[in-house]
Amino acid sequence: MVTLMVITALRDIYRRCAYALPVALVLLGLCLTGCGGPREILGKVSGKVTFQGEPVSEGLVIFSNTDKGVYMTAKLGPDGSYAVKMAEGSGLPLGTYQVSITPPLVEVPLGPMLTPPKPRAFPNIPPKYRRNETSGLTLTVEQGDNTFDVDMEKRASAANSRS
Amino acid sequence: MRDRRAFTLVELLVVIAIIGILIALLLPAVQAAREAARRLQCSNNLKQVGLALLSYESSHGVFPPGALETADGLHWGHSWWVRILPYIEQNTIYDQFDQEGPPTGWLGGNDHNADLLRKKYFPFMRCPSSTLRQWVMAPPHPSWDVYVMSANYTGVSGATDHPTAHDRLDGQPEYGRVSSGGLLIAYGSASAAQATDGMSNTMIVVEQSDWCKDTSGEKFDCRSDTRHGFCMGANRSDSLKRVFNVTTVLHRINEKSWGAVGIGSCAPNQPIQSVHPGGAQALFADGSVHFLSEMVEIQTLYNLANRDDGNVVGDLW
Repeated sequence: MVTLMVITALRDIYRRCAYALPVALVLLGLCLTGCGGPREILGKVSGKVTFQGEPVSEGLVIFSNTDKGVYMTAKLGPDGSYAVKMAEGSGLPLGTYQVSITPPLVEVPLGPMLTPPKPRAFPNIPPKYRRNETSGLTLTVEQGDNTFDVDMEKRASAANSRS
Repeated sequence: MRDRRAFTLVELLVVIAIIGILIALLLPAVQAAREAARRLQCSNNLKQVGLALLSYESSHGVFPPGALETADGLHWGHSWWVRILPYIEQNTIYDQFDQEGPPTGWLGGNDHNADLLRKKYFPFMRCPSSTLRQWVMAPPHPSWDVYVMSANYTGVSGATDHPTAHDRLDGQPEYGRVSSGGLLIAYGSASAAQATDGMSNTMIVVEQSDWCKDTSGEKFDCRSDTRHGFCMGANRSDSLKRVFNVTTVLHRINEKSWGAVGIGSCAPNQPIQSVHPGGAQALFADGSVHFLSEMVEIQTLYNLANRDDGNVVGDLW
């Protein structure tokens, strides 16, 4: 009975102002799409890392922005290419980053590990590039696509590791 | 003249559509109310943990060690969670817990403790909003059936900018940062007197209630125990210097990128993050619980994580 009354009332409203319905629907749609959205604008970052022209197929590219507290890594693919992807989407928050390139992370099982595994050497990632302080690489991420290719050189590392 | 009692098909459809829209408007409100209740429970748990930590502090003169190694310094010890059990009405478990080992907190090497903690539920470790697994070292893991509880909260061992902070592995920044500038530190204890910033300006336990995502969008558990249980501690002889159940603050609140520096498997900088929209909850050393917005400046967050940096944070809430 109550349902019927509600339906009848709604029918009367509908008959009197049928034009209002599409307007209401459009407003509702606008409201729903207007809410939420990404928390921060990201600039897409990708590129390729090479050592004396040869692709570096294993390793991490690390992007650090101390002002924002963003410390993000990207894995190198077999052809030396990478693309940064955060939880919120592809890219990095806009700003200036220090960049370093390091060997990949090593995982060892838990338990009493008294003899650590011998670390693999990565001669194609000179020590200079492994730390922000010495790499000399910076990237300013802007809205849209950012390409950042790095070609590492051996000679430069020898000169810098002494300092 | 039309019969007023009859409905046309269009009228009925419109009525159904309107009712549908009304329900659609109501549902999010109901869900929001339910989430608000869960969040309250979540912060209540933190308050309870805070009481236990302060009781521990008043009987020992120091806060519990964040993560211990065994007495011989060669094996995995246990975490601060185990140390506060007697102060949170869990004496029976604490009395039976084998604190000699070795190891103690690593249940893969201590069957007695594994049997003791199997499927033991501690409500104060669980944030009801969380969809993370309650039991870890359990299926779908291929080789474990321990079913130990994993906490939704972790201890704060300091921030990356504290003088004690260093790369976890010397010269290899990719492994993250380890700090002893907070109040729940590895291999040692901090006292309330060391919190010269003030107890109400220092975080001690923070929330970790959501999943992290990797580059393909797959979900990963990025809590500080990374699937080893609330009891897992530390081990100085470990080749990767891993420390469990405490975190060194490096990232912004709600950074959920699996693969960020120090976030990942057994990593030291697992983020402060939550399923609540807009931020995460933190317990301060004075026992108060605050909701920290994800818009908090990173330096402010570091200042809150360090006990003695001389920076007193003013009006944050």
